[in-house]
Amino acid sequence: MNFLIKKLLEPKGMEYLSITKDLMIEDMSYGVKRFADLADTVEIGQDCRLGYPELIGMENMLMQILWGGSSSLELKGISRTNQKQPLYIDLYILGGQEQPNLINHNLLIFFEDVTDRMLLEQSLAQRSHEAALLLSSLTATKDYLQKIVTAIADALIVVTKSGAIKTINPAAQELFGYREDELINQPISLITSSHIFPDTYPQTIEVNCQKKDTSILTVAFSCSIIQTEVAGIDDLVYIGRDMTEQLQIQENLNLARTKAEEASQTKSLFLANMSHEIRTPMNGVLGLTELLAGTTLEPVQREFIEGIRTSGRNLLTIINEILDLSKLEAGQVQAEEYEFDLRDCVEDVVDLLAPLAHGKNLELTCMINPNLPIAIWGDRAKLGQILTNFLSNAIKFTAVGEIIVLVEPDPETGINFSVIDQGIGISAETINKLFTPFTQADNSTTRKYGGTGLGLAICKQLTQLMDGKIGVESKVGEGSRFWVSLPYDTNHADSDHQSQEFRFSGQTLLVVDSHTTTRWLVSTYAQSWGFNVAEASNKEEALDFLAAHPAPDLVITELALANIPELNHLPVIIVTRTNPEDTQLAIARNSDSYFLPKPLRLTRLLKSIENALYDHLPTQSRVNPPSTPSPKILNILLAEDNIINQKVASTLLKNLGHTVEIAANGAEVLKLLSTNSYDIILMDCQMPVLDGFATTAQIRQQEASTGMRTIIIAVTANAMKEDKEQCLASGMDDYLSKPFYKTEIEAMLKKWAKS
Amino acid sequence: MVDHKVSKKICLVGDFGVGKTSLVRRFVDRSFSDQYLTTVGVKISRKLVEINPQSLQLLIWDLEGSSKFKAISATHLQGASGAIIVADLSRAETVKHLEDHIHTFLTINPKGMIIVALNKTDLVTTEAIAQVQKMPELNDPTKILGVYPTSAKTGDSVDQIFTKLAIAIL
Ligand SMILES: Nc1nc2c(ncn2[C@@H]2O[C@H](COP(=O)(O)OP(=O)(O)O)[C@@H](O)[C@H]2O)c(=O)[nH]1
Ligand SMILES: [Mg+2]
Repeated sequence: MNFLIKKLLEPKGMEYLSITKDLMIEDMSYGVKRFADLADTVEIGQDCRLGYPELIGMENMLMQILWGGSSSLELKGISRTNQKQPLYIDLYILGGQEQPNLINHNLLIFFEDVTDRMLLEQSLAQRSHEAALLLSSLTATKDYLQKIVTAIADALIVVTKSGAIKTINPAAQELFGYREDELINQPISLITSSHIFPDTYPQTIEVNCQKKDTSILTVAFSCSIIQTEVAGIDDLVYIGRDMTEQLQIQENLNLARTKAEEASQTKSLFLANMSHEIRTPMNGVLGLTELLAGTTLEPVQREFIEGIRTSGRNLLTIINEILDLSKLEAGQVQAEEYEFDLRDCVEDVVDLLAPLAHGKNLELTCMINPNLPIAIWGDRAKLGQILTNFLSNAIKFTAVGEIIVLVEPDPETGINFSVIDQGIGISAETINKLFTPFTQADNSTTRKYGGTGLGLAICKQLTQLMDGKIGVESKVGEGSRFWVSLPYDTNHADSDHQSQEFRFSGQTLLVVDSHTTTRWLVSTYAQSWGFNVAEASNKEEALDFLAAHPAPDLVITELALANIPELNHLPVIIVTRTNPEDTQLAIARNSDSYFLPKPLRLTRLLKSIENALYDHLPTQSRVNPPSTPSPKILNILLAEDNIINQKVASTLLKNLGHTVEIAANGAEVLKLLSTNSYDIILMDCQMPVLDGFATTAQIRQQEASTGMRTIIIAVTANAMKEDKEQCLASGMDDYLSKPFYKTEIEAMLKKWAKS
Repeated sequence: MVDHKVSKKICLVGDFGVGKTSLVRRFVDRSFSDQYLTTVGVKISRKLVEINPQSLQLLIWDLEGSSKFKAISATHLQGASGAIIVADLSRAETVKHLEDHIHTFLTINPKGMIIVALNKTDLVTTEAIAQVQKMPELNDPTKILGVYPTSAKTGDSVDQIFTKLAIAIL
């Protein structure tokens, strides 16, 4: 190698190789091995590619230089990793001759150490690449967020604290009908005037918004604050959904509901009116029938009259049931709460229906658990209605056997009332339909037993009204148990009840009755009052007892077993049924025994026991019971426009021994009052000219100056509770619903005659 | 010729940071690092690949990745028998640049063999991978030997791409 070149290269730290056309090393500078990948292989006569692998693959390029096809080749930034220190080199490859020639051509490869430059480059590149990578991941995140914002179906608006719109997604643009550039940086007041923007950010709110086309829509926004590191510059994000359609749907629903409610009110009003319209002529029919029945008739005629009477009453029942149900279904009935006597309520129902049961020769027993309190808070009338329904069904569907009314504590609900019969029973399939309107067990039943099938539907509605439960268990051919459980409070102390406990302690009672249920009932009650109770189911057992024990303090026996001479000197209570045979027998019996009609009432039983034991006390210690005064003759004014009803009512009243005058309307009433005075006015509410309410109001007004007060009893065909309230409010004293029966009017007059 | 072994040059081409260096390290040193050290210039690694019955010495050129400001040096690609063109599946733009790299390489080495490595599969979903694999520009059998989802981190398909390329260029 030329000395000059060496001189030139040395100060630059450059080294060189001279290689032949076969790529063999023919000359090299001293330090060139430092730049080799494998230093050992760098020797004169060796293939240069062994030590400098970057030349592998470059053969074609090298040949081109060698043959003058190109002048030079640069390979820059080759890194050597076999060194302790990082090392980067640049290679410059040139032809060794000015003119390529065949004999002596070679290649010169110059090596330059560029480590410093490359390390600088590396740190620059490192920084810029890292920054670029960070940016790209940021961009990716931002893109992703942007995509979410764009993709969400809800409208998204980002607002600055000062109320300027910062971001608005396509859904929001579409919702409000603006282009993005029309909203960006605009005040939010452009789309809503609601003051909630942007000062407050409740979780969710519905606001009215205005579209670009000025139409109004309701948007439900959920709002939140976008918290940032820098305090005070937090933006607010609102995500909104168009509620206009939903509100419309809601409105339509409300409208539909209102309409339905109106329709149902109209229906119930119609039914109420209809019942009124039917009741008025029915009053005439039934009233005249009663009168007709009181005249002398041929037996056949009497039979017909009975038919008319029964059919009429049935019709009235049906009308009442329809009216009841329609009022219940229209939600016009409320459950009331007042204190009532549990025993009275149940036993009244049983008493009322006992003649029906006894008429069919059915035993009817009512057993109220003596541990239950007597005073109950609730709606007595509704309970009575349910029980009446249960019991009349039981009687209707039972041909032979017995019916038991059972009142017991219900640990879950309060008090359970069951009516158990031995009737035809109900099949499992029909049991489910029982409590829905107009379904009796099956059509054949309807034909055979009559009725609308509304009764149980009414019971169910009533039970629900009182938060109770209702149900039935039944077996075909064996009988049914209908029950209702009501949430009555059974825990309160009953002073009356406690005082009766142990009041007959130590006394012995003998119960003689062939009917097991009756014996069980009497002994259960008697034991709760402290009696020692012995039972006999027939004459022999009774005699056995009397022979073996000291005489009992009291005997309760059924009528058929009362003829035991051994009982004669003892206090005896004879239990009778309310059928004609028993009554005849009882009358025929020549004895001073006490008679107690079945079904046995708890209070009545107690009273009889007291009386029987009292009668057997020495005479001087007795106290005389007060005597009842004979009924007073009343001067009655009957205000009634219907001529038939005038006739019915006045005949009834005259038969009761009262004097009657008639007024056809309110004006006539006032006229008569100006000259006459009456004990009682029976006032029809609906009359021409001046109706009952207005008339009463005037009477009361006039009386205010005289200080007198005539008893006014309203008479109306509307069997609705509101009517009663209206009557009392207008100044009337009491209320009688048409058609009324002799007993009802008699009781009503007796009540008011006292005052 | 040299050392009685056949030696062939292959290049790793792609944008910076796609994992070229990592793929080489995984293949040659069987290691991986999460740390990023930018490659400048060229680093040449040797790896002997046994392809029965022969063996082939691969000279693997790990090139400085291209960026917006710096293209791949053409001379570095000279004389390569094949290339692994690499993209980072988690950066869409690196996938977009694959076509350019393929074109550059084939201009200099018209007979060169190409395998595409879609790297960093461990960072993306299989759905995303499938979508990239379906791209028509990657489905040209006249230019591309195959497209492989790889991961230098887990080693997934790393040996396969190098071996496949080695067989093709032998
Ligand atoms: N998660 C994951 N990271 C990888 C993978 N390959 C490379 N990296 C990382 O990506 C960054 C760039 O890798 P590098 O090999 O230097 O990329 P080059 O610039 O193409 O050589 C480094 O931080 C690597 O750790 C991979 O398959 N999976
Ligand atoms: Mg690299």
